[in-house]
Amino acid sequence: MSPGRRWVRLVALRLLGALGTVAGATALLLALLFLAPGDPIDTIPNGEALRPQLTEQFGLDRPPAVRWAVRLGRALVFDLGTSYVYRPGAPVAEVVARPAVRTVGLVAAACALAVGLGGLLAGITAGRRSALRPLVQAGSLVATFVLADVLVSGINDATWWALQAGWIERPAWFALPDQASLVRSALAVAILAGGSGTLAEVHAELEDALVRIRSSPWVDAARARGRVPWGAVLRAMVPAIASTLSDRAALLVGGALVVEHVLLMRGVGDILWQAARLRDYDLALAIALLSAVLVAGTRLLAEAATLLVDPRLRGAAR
Amino acid sequence: MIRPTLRMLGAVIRDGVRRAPLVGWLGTAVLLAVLLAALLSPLAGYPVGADVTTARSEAPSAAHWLGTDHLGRDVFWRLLLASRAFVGPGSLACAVAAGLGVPIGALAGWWTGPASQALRGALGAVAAIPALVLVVLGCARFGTGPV
Repeated sequence: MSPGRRWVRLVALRLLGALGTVAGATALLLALLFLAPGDPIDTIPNGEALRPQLTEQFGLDRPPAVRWAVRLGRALVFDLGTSYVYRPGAPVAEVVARPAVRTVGLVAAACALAVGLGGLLAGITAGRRSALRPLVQAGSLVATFVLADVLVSGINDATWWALQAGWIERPAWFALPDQASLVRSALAVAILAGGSGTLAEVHAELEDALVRIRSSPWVDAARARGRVPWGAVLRAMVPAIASTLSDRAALLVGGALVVEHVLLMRGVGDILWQAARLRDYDLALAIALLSAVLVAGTRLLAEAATLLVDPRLRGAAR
Repeated sequence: MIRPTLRMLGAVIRDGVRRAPLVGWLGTAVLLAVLLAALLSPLAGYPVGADVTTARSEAPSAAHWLGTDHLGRDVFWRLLLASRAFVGPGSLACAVAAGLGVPIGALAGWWTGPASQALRGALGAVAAIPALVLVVLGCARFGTGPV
């Protein structure tokens, strides 16, 4: 088989695996809802009066497997259903499209911060006794929602107190809940990277990887020739980063939804909580499905990065 | 058979205790404090409904160690009593995860071929849904009141 065809086969298999994960997650979510008492019509105002029409419209008279297949088929063409309470009559895809981009941005920025800062700290602490290590690990013990609440309350209270005392004017970053704020976004990224434990995990994994790389024969040989192969060292660290981010993907996505809610940011997290409060069944289910897609996508990217830098794994994966 | 296994388990635990980092001890201390609070709070005889004082939004003091909230409730006692609400479900979740995870993991490791792949795929699908999303989805389906 030619190298080009091998690559196509490898990519196709991985994509099929990710699609299978999403299909399985959808089946699980729907199974949980099928097993629960009642149906979506119970959550709609005046639903009982319109039950026959709504049952036919929602396809509730069909067998569960058919409903799963229909929902999955619709999701493939970005039809995620209709919002019945949060924004009555609006397609869910339209409601969540822009907030989803913000949430993906938040998760991506938290990953970038965890990798950048974790790599920097690992470079400082690898193979040495350092007070930084327990400090980073202790920070990861604090839960995301506690960290978010304490930091936000602390900064808000301190600023409000300084304003009341006449020490400062209202600073430009002291934004109202519905306003975009750079400080709030930066705070959200830092809380998500630290509070989800991703920073501590990346730091620990990269420390181990650096110690292994430093003591490997190819680095010794390069040093003997008077140069350090930084490009190869960075490539050798990719599998450790990819594996950590892949393991942490679900925690990061779940944490993003909490951080958005606590910091009043307009991402899918905030919509999910409102959908839960209003019992907007289709909207909440669609966001759960989007979260699963995001997690599966992160894992797929992590695997692709590992396969790209490690030819031995490419050989094993064929 | 049993004695060597127990000896090996003992050695693993002793090794783990000796090598545990500072943060591991810190985490264990926090966990033990929460467990103790949950176990001992009923013994203190502090009734749930009797924690309303006339002092509202008070700062921490000798009478109210963590102060009082806007309704005059003692924050320290509420914290102690609340610990029971998550120690029970948390322990149950750990037991269920271990009870299901160990045999499923053993089967996935023991079997080979499509059965093992299918089991791993199913577990991957379960792990792809963030736990918090499931909780919120549960609230959407059942409401947020007590079960």
